[in-house]
Amino acid sequence: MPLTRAARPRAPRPAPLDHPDPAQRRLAVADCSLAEPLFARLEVEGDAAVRHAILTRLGALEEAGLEARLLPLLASEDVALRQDAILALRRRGGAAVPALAAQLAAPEPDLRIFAANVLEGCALPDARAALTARLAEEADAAVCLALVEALAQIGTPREAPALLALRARFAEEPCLGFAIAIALDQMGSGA
Amino acid sequence: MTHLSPALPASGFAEEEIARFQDFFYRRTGIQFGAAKRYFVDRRLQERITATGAADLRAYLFALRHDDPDGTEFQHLVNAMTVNETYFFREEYQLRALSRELMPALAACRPGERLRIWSLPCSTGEEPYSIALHLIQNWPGLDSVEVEITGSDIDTRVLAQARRGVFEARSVQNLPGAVLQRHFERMSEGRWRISEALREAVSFSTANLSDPDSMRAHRGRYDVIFCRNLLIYFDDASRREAAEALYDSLRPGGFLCLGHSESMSRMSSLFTVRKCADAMVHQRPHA
Repeated sequence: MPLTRAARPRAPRPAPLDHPDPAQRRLAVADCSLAEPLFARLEVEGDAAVRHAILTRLGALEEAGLEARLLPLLASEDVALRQDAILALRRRGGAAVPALAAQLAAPEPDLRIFAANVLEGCALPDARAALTARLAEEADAAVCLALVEALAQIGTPREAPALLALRARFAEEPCLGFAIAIALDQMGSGA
Repeated sequence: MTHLSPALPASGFAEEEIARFQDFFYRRTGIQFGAAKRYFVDRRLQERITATGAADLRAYLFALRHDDPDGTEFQHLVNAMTVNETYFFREEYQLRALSRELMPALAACRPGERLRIWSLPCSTGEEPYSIALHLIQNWPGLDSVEVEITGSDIDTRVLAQARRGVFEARSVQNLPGAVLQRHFERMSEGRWRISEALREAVSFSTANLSDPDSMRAHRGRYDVIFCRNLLIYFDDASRREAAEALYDSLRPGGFLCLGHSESMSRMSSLFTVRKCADAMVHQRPHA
């Protein structure tokens, strides 16, 4: 029976972030525990898989304060990069909420929508409060829809009055009314 | 597999405190607790607070962050927050795919080489031992190809159980009688101990899929990885991180077997899907 007992695996030596082989650069990214060289590499990196790995790694790093540097990536025209940035910010959990709350007031509606997209993965009271506060003053129906969809994921019955107020404010938007009804249902406040 | 248990009575932590705790746990493990797990989380947390003598959840969380340099208490917490329900020959169709298609294909393209199989998370050992038993019974190639099987888990308590190799009757109920008689020893109270030869053949180690330091040693090492019913506890963000780590742990051309309800298609473009007669598996492309 040639089942063989495994020897203890050993960690390989890290490769440099500028290694000519993209496969080696991906591994170098996984080995890097500092944000600065990763952000620097992201600016010049041409390989999509390596860029993806960089953002995955940045999302997981313990280093504080990375959110402010990740947020501008939400404005990227590169859809894959933007989606990776959304997940990186989401992976940072509660640490990202203050920066995202500020982003909800960005002048660009798209940036407000992306901020709401990130917050829908943060089931924290601060995140719910930020979404609800924005809901009260948001004038753009598309942004409101993103806020409602985020609350549908993480909201509680406590946020129901804010949604009902929004429905009254946008009574002429049936799509929004439909989304609010679904959100209320998901939050356990359906009527 | 290591996963989260059903609801139990709550001890009543404030919502904000429990949310902070869950955020901390998510950051460290990638695991998210849904609302349905709240009672379970509360109860297990209270047990750790009592065990450590912390005044309350806030004090416990502070100690975890700032007064646990070697991660001992964090490991106790992980052990408390995971429960492990599995049994021999679970989702056997994937084992059939392993012996009928994956191992023959790997042996053909890596002649003379040792093949390595990784079970992650392995819980109390049923999966890696099942892989060994299934190959012994069903893959003639085992006569000529060296095969190494490793089981890993984030929970050190279950790894100790796996090394002991003692199982309850419920755990072995799917095993054919002949396999049970040949490879197990009957113990008292309806328990069974797997043979010393198999305990010696399968090795066990700690691994946390969300910790790059923990995963680095496994890089590029395995020909087949079984990672079943774990990713369902991760959100999209931590699943993508896990996908990268699993990809890096495979040799080019290696296979990844996920649970029947799990898929890589939405979280990673790194893998290609391979349809076997008995199961769908994911493959790291050949270099």
